[in-house]
Amino acid sequence: MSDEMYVEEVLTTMAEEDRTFSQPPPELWARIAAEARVEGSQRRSMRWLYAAAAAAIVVVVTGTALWNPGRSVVVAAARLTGGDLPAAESGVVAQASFTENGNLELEFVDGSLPEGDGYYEVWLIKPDLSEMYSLGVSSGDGVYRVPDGVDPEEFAVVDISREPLDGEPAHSGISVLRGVLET
Amino acid sequence: MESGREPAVAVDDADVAALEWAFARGEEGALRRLYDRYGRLVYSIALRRLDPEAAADITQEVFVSAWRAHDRYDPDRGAVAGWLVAITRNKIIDELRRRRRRVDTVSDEGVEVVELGADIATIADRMLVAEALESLDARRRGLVELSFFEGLTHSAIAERTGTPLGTVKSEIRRGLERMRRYLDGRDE
Repeated sequence: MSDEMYVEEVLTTMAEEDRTFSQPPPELWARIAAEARVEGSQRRSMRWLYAAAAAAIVVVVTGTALWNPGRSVVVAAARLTGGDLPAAESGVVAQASFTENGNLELEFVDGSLPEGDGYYEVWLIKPDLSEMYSLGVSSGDGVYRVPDGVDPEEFAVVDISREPLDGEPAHSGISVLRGVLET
Repeated sequence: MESGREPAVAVDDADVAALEWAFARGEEGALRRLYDRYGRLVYSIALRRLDPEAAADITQEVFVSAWRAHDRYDPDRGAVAGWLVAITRNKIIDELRRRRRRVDTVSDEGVEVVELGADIATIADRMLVAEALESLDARRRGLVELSFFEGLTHSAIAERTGTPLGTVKSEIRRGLERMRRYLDGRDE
């Protein structure tokens, strides 16, 4: 059977359901981007993040809000240290605290993020990188609302990425600070 | 089932060609463009034999595998849509085999796989051709539809649309060529 004849046969046997397309769920692209970027050569930083998450290089701050008295009780905390920052800024350290009232509080304890193109974005990520939530744009110390139902034990990686102004909502793969929340 | 969005404007060959070469070269952003354009095709094929969650998982696997293997795709051999559909078909068959093996270990697997494969291949080809049909500009697409979906002869189409017979024939032929190129992409 020639190719043209086969095309014609497909057309004549085509039913309505063959012409009905459904859009995949909206979060699917973020999953694909995360997985593809872990493997991409230009995306080594996410692989680094993966390793960091697996190795759980963390300083643990537990229980009471030591560094932030007068506010909510800290239930999990992470110390965020540098990834893809230029050497001069590699000493930047931030503290992330997940509080009882469902906020993530970010405080730069040493240095600050350098000015540059684009902006910084705060993320909560599953250690296997299969899912992540953006908590918003970072401009230094701040309080970020974590969506109800997002469990800090499950989404234990706190990550700050540098994002180019490209209108692309997924994580850029450029991780400038990260750490793992520990309860 | 929600019907997918219609392309707002006719997509010409140049757009597809640019995307295919960008993808084959592994250019930054090409995977996103490929997904934006063909995510619904891959997902919709998977959805024909799998639940939405499994169909989403398959779609993720297809695009990640495609990205890993982008340098094995050659635009000269066929459309990237067909190439993606070949990957999709294999992943769906693998998934269904895994499921069947779990529930029925005594079945004659060889026969089953052949039947499964034929079923998925038929669905995949029809949806791939439907995708190619949608990518045609409105006039060409309309003429193909009158010919194949309403069964009109070329001269009846010419009469009804006021298009010269020669144009009807050449437009339909070009439409069929586009569809064949989509199908060619799935032959590795």
